[in-house]
Amino acid sequence: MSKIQVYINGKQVIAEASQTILEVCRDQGIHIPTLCHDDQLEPFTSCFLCVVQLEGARTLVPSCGTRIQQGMKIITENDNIIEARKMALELMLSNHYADCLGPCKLSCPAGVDVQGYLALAAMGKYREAIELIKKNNPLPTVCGRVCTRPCEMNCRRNFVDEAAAIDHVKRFIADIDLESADRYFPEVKDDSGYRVAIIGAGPAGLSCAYYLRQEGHQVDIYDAKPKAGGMLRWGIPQYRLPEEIIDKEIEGVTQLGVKIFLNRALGKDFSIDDLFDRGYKSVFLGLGAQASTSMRVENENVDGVLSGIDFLEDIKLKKIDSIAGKIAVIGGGNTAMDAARSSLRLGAEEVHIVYRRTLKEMPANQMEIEEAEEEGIKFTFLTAPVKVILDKNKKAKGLECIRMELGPPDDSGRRRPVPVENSNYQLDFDWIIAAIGQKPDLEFATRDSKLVNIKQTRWGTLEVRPEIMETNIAGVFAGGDVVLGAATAIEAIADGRKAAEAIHKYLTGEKLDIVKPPFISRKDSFKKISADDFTEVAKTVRAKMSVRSPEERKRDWNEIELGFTTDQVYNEALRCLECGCQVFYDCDLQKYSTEYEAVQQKFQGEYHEVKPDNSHPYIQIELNKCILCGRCVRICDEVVGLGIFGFVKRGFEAKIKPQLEMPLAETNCISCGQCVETCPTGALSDKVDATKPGPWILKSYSTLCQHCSIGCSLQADVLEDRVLKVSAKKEAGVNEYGNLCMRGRYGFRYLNDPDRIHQPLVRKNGRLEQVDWEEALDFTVKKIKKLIKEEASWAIFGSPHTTNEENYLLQKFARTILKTNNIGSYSNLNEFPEPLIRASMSNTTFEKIERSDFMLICNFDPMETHPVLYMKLQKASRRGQTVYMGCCPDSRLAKKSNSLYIPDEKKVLF
Amino acid sequence: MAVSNNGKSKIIVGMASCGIAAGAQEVFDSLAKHIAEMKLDVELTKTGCIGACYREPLIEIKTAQIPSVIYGDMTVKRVKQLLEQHLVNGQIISEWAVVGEGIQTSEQDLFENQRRIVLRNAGEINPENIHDYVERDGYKAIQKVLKDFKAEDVIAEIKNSGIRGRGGAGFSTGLKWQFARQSESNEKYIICNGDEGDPGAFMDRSIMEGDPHSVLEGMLIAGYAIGAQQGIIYVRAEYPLAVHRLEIAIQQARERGFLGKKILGSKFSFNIILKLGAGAFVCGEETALIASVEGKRGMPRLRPPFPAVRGLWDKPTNINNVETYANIPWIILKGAKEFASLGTEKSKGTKVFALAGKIKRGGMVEVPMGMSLRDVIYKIGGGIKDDKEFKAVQLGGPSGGCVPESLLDTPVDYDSLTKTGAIMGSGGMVVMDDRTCMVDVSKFFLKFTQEESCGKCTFCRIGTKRMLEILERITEGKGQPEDIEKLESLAEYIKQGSLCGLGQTAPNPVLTTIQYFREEYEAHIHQKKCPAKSCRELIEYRVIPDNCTGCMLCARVCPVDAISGAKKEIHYIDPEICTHCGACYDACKFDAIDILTGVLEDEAKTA
Repeated sequence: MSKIQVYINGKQVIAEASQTILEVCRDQGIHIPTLCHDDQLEPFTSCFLCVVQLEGARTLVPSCGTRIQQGMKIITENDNIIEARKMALELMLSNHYADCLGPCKLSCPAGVDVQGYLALAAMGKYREAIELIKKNNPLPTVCGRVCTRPCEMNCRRNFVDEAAAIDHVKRFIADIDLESADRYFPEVKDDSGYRVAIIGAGPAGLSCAYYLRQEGHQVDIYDAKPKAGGMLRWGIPQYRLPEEIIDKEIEGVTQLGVKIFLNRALGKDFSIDDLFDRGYKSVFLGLGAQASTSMRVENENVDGVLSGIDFLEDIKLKKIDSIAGKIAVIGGGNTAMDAARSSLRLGAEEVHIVYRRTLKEMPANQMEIEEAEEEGIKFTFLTAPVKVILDKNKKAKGLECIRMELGPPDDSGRRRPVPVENSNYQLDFDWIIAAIGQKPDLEFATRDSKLVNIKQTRWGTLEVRPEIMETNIAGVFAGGDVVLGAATAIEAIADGRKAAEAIHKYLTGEKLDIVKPPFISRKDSFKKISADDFTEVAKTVRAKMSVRSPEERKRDWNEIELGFTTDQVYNEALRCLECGCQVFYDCDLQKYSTEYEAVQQKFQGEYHEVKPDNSHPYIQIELNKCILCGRCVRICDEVVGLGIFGFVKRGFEAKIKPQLEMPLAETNCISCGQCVETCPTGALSDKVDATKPGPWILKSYSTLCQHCSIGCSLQADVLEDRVLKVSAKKEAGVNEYGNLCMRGRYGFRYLNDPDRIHQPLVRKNGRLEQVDWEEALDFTVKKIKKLIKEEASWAIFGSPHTTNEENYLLQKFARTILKTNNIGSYSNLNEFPEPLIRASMSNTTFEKIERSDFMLICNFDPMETHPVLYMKLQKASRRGQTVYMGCCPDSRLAKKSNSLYIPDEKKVLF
Repeated sequence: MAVSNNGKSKIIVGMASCGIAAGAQEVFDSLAKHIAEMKLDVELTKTGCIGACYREPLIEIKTAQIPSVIYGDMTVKRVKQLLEQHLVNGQIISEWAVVGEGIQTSEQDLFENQRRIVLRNAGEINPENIHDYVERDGYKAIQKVLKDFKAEDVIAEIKNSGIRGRGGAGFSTGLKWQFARQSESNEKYIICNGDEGDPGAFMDRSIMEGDPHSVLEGMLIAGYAIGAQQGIIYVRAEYPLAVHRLEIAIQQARERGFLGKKILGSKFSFNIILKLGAGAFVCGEETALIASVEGKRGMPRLRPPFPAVRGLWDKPTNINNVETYANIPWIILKGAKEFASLGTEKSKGTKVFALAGKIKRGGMVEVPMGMSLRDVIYKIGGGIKDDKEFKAVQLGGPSGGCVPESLLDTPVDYDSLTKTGAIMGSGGMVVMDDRTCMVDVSKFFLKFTQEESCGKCTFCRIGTKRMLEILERITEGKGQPEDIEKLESLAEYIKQGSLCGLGQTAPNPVLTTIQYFREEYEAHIHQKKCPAKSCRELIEYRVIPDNCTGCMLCARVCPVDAISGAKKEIHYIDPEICTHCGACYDACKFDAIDILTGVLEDEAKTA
């Protein structure tokens, strides 16, 4: 083959004259994206992602189909090329009505893979589930109790009936782990030599520590309080989140080697400078928001007026153990509910929640409000305090309030309460608890030489770069309430993890650049999803968490919620609608859209909403995800030779459909799965052999196919003890291009059969009993020895399923142990006439077969027996090499090649 | 021009699709009936498109006394009078005549300014009778070639003539043949591309219907030149008459030995078959056409390799369009020099155009290259219908562009037309007057290409759709300020990112209208106004009280009863009911209906 010279981005390259630009670039390690090209197919040049520019030419050329020419000057990247690629992607995405991820994962501040762990829970794989959860959330037992659950609020199941009970399932999974003797701990890398100090042992600090420690850094947490846990411990009453649970959850962090130093307050006991002086390379500030917001009413700083958050803390510290009389709690958030319900448990006769808006606007969790009501808490809505009324001892004895009405919506989208003039009235109370809100207490910073110039927002929180949580002070990061203001545990956890990633980069000298956010396709980009989209989903009832009765629970501090049963967990997991795409981790469209920062809404317009074709036992078609690259059409034609798929219609309406637009199952599909393997998006995907299909990032193992003698290389994706997917291991073995047949690709399912025998069985007293391998081998040896003694004569048949190596052992065994030469096999080779057995195919390589000018097939139809060999032969026949079929006149290959079958004489050549 | 060879008078009826659609078959039958009844010694025959389609049905009468008169707008009612007056009394009915030897008509410049090479036989011969073709030097060119020319000589002659492909792209025909000749293979093919599909174009159909043998002869010569044995005419099934006449022509040519083995005693064998296309516009693209012939979906592929190297069944293949082949016999007979003496430096010969739209004389004309657009439209086409103002002419169909008044003096040649942003194309010429909205025009053509895109390339499939959606919203008054920029950037990448001519040229109508009529786009977008008063969503019909006579005509024609008012009362159009169909406007005889458009104009009127 002749070599020619081309220039790629100015660099001279010598390459084969027959190569395409794409091939040459790949050889040179230059990455060019493509969606429509597959190495084993003829170039199709339709996606236009692989465009490059030729020097001197104005327009772009698709590199996958353009052959190089002497002296060609190729530019593989410039603004024009990038813009073209981006636009091509954006056009495809404008008709890609699909969700990459479910709204649950997307709405979770920490990005926990809800769909993934629900699917694992459905299969009872709680260990894998906790591992998955802890990739994003180190405090699931806590969150399983107190999370505000944006996942459930956004759950699409709400359009059918009610959200899946995601949080309760998580609590179940996390509780099992917490109580198990063999708890899950992630791997910790070898000591990096770096030390990081974290201030505050609340959710943000714990989360930051958990992820930093896994990278091998020494992490020390300092907390001002006598116990760790931050607001989780001090701000949430025992009946919602027992302290024993918090303790155990924190062990999940400290067990990794994280040290917590208690009663050490920043600004009092040490300064940031001290930390850096002591060798810490970076500091994370997870200080929380512990200062109460004032009510801004007259007399609020008097005896008898308490701050909600201090009240809750004092209960935990046992500084308060009773309260009497009539209590007013001002505010509508969770702290207000906690303070009100705690008051009840401390002995209060009557507790009122005074809120300036209505029930609908209350920020507290729905369940909290309901439970408070059940316990007898009274609610006074549209009422705001104006003044604390004092008795003669200057102690509070009541409130002067004003009635409110709702005006137009404010920035938060909630309707703004407006006072009704002259509507003031008085209410008598013994205690007034203000639970209006909290803010960070950063007063100490003015005294810390390192932090004196730290940037703050106008709300008194710390200012950070949101993606990396870094403050304006080098090496100082922050997250949680100190940045967010009083927010949620899950947001603090998310901040902690983000900061950990950034700190790790900071320590290892990596650039702190903000990474490109992954591209996420969303159905919401196209329309507002509504109940109309789920009319075919059957309604089910959401499992109810069992709780202790209000009468019983309001008298003590024991936990109210009792947890889910296994059945409830299973049913709730099944209620998941699997919104996220099955091939999310393996989608080229998503990958390139991220790389080129494509925007799905750039070109909005008409789009195709198509129902999936689920007819086939192994393959699912979701045409709404199809980008019309035509790879399935071409692979089924060019490689498989069947042509099951084809293009129909024209223009924007053009689509790919199975033959005659039938359901796939009704076509002549041979289930080889080549189409799935080559599909660059989720338009064609394997039906996963599992109760719920995930998707997950699975462990992959390399293996060889056992179904016939071709020896295809496989990659098996395994979830613990279950094979979920088999694909061709590319760039290896006979099937280097990714060819497999139905047996190789989908035949693994018997491995997952619950009745499959995993252990040897030996018949004892007429009954088969499970024994260990040792015993089974001994038993076999004994039996064989006995037979040999009887001088029986032997004939051995190998199974066509055994490998060459096994066959070799079998004949060794036959000849040396059994002393017989009577060895046979049912494999096809035995059916060949004598001279051909000796010249059997094992003498040659597949490469040689593929390169032959003439091929003669004797006595078998490779499509039936060895489909991957058939694919090679049919491709060769297309290339113009001559294939003679000496048999099987009705076979597909005979019809496509030169059949040597003589119909009149009704006989074949061999 | 001669009367028929036996000295008999002759009546020729134009019976191409255009004539038949206008009623030529009825006229023909009536002529036959009356000739028989009147026992006239006249030969009645038919021919293809005579060219003056706007006057169909057309008939030509030739007698010994009056050599030739072409009558237009023939009806069954007029047949008897015409026969009596012209044939019996020998008097020309000049008010019915379109053109005639020895008489003056207002339309004679239509014919006088043409130069007919491709259409040399159109309107002259009976396309269903090979005899007529042979009479007019038919199949002499192939005889000449077989006798005197080596294949290389043919190619040299074609190259010297300077003829370029008449399908649109304008690649040198001689060079194309040479490439196919140079490709080594024992099997080669000649394909005639008869998949004419541009809206408003009917040149190829007229040639196939009017002079099928000239196409066959052209293909024969090409086959001889490149060394092919098989020819395929790819013609769309919606052209049944063309298919029918080609079938007859192939049959007759076989019978006469012009097709088949060892043609005219030479060593050259050549056969032609028809392949009917299902009507996909994209199959006019050569690689898609080849795929379609092979039985695959009509989808273009990347070139190179060009069909001359790898074409039908992967064999070297030469594809030219109908008009190109029809030129070939003339070039061989008259010589390359003669052909090259016509036209401009880089565009030789003539070009057939289908004149359509708001033009007085719509029809099929052939002019020498280099004639100005103005001359084609005014001298030949007779100017704008109803003497309205010329606005633009759309050339090259959906791949072409709109040329404004300021560029009317552009000569008709490949390179000059390309410079305007339009293209020569296959010869569609759609004339537009001032009531045509240019945004609407580009929307029309883009809708066509979008629906006809094969769907293969991302940019063509989705990009043109998004452009169309933007145009739709602009004409509906929902345009956004960034829309023009968005259209231009999409257009840029659709041109760069499409495999075949369909996608590469699809944005041309949009780009040229933006280039020449940008203010019209801006009026739609910013003022929600259609200056041509054409976009339904942006106009409103109002009665002008001063002009209204209360005749009730508008109220009667209104299909939705939106117009109220009794007789002799000033009428009122209810804007809530009115669907903006314009029936009242067309019906009113007193110019009493006004069309308002845009917010500003509306306010100005009421102020």
